[in-house]
Amino acid sequence: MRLDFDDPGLFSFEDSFAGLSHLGTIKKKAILSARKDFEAVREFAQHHLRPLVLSADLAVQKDKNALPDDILALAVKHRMLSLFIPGFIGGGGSGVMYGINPCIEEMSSVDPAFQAGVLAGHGLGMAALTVSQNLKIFERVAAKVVSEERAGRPYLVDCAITEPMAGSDVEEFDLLPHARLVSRAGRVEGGALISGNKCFISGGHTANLHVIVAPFDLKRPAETLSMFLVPKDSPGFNLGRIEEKMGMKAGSASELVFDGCFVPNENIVYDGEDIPAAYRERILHSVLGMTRIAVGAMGTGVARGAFETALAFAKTRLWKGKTLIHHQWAQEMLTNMLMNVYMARAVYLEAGCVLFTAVLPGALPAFMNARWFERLYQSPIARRIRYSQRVRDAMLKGFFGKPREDNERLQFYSSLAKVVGSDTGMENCHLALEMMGEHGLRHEAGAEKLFRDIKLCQIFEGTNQLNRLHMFNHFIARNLPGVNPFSGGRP
Amino acid sequence: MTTIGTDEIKTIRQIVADFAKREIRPAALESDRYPFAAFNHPLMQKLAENGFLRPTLTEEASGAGMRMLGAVLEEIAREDASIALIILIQSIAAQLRMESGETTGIRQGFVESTGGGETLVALPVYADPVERPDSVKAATQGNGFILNGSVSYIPCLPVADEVIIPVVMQNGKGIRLFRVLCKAAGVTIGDPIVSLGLRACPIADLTLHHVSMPADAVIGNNDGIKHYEGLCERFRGPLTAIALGILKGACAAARRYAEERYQGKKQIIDHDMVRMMLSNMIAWIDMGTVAVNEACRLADEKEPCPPSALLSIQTLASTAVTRATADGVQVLGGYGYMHEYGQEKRMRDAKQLQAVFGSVPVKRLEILKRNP
Repeated sequence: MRLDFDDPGLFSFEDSFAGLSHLGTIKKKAILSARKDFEAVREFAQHHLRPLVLSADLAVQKDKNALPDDILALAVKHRMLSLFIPGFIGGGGSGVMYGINPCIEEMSSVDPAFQAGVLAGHGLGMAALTVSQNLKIFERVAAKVVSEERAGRPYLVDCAITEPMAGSDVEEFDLLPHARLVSRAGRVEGGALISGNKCFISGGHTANLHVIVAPFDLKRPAETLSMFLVPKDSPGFNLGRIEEKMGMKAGSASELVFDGCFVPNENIVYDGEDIPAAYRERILHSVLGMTRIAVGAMGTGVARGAFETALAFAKTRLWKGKTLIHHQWAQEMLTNMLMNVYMARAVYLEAGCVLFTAVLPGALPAFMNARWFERLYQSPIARRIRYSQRVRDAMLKGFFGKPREDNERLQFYSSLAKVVGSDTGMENCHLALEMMGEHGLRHEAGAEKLFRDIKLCQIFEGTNQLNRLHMFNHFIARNLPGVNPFSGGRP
Repeated sequence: MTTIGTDEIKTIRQIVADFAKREIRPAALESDRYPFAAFNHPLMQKLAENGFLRPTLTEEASGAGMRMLGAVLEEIAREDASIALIILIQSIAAQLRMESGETTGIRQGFVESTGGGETLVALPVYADPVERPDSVKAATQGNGFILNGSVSYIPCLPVADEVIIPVVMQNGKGIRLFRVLCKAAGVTIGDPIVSLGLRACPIADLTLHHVSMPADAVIGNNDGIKHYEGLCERFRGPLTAIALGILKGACAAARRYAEERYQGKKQIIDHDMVRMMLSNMIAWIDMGTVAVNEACRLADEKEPCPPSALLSIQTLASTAVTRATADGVQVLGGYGYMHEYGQEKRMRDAKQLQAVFGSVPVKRLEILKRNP
């Protein structure tokens, strides 16, 4: 019997059956926790968010600079921003992450614009800080999110990577060396100075804190790519324009302009040259590994929202003397739409199992929810220990030193979830509008908004074309030396 | 009746294309914000002055030029499909009136000039011409009628002086077409409806409450509704030409962008996946061009044609264009999603257009019905 790793054409058990491989490690209590998180988001989205969704979209149609202040206030009131920040850092989370993607699906089924335009920009920023392994900064920011929320105010971050001439080129590690970046950092006494532009930054205009990704040396972006915190209203930093988008209108796509913006040392999250070369790729991969699965959940949510909207229509619209729901052609269309939802969901859940093996634990140990642990964690000595360079180095090694095949698997599954979720959402929106005819074209029916919203999910976080090359590179070509979709071209 | 030759059509195409670039393109993005931006009344005036508003009524066409209309609509749709839809609606209404035997006032408009300005007619073209909801009823009153009921989602209604609607006559006397003056007592026109695409062609709901209509408000004879159904059938070709024009505009924009944008160490047009998307768009344009020509020719020559040919061409082509224009956005990446680049508008316009003359599944089922 040949072992499968002798045959580069075959995928292993872990490669093929991610859920099965991970199931044994999931504790029942963690699932109950995930369920609770899901129910909290369901309650928020269905009862509190839903009534505001259409008017938020219209407000931005009337004025592209309008911001979703009332939705944000509602999210703060219902503690949505701290839902996944663990209790020992002050948040409302129980250290269980299993529910996060189902929650994203639920929120997106009601309003992908709030999810992708506001929460996701925040989530991307928090993901970047998590991956940075700079606990001091991560905890400082997380604590601020929590304390502001308790005071009734939103505290949001964003993550600024994209530039006018660098889209795909900053989403793919192999393309980064040739990215035509403009934003750069310069070393100065006590910190760094940032100059340049970022564009299309989700939630830029509602963020209190910007996480900026920029290199110290434009000629060596991969080696010197670093991460900085820039609070809003910093001298030398200005918000530029808000883009007028097809959809996802509740969240701003912002231009950020830096002109000699000083970043003190305590706001430098990491300096790229301090990161061992072997880990640099893993930073990008870990962030994308998390966020692309989230986009898969978003797309699935939109697919579901489109199905639910079409179903509601079919229950009331009369055609040839009976409601559509009684006509076989409508039954078929609705069933196809629901099949699409379940297929896309299965993919992001599988991808989640890979994520919780390769990058993050799906659930922190239960003792971390105990009061004694929180007290211990927040004690000065515990802080000093975990903020030390030794602990930082150990964390970097633990986080990024995982086996290569774990990361390859995650890259494939996360891109897979992203492409499948977004393509499925798009297709269900096409079908819903086709079923609903003229009624579906009206803003008030909610269907055409989903159609406008979902398209962005096929484009951001790397276009679905780039994501396919990423999948090919990390999973199909991983054992084919010399086959690299990103080789060739004129740098 | 003059037969329009391919040379005449070529000339008209060029004239319209130049006009569209000059007069329609600069205003397209702003007009797309309707109802949060103004309707482009001056453009309607310019279209009328150039004979483009009801091109089937020009001296040359004399009411027979579906191919000519297709060419006009395609060139206009490249710049702004909303305007093409307005022209299509005016053309259907004009053709309807002319073929029903009316002669007065058609070339100038249907309502004698009310102090200058071009008048527009509204027509519920999103409704399936046959599977209409038919909820307006007429009761006889003296020599005229009293109308009650409502019709939803009528394009041009917010900016029209009159609207043509099907009406169910009392006592089972069939269905007739009425033209109703928008300012008549008892007529309520709803607020402009915010819609997905073709937004510069405004839309509103209509409600009639005891609206008194004279006998001459009826268009045509007892066969009015059957005539309307047949007429819509003939106009499926020019309608599909609008979809074709949208796709041509999308393809040109995608190609231009792909030749300039540099990512992944090359111009993105040098990436096979981008080439494949552009190639597919061109393939649909090639097929669509042949299909639209044939659909317009069949309508012009009025020979018996395959019973579902025009319906199939409209359904398949308009559906293909919705997917192809989505790829058109995809090629432009993040910029494709931004209003400023004009590409996401084409995707919305194509999807909106797919619902003209009824929803897609109903159209698909109809195809079999016509082929017993």
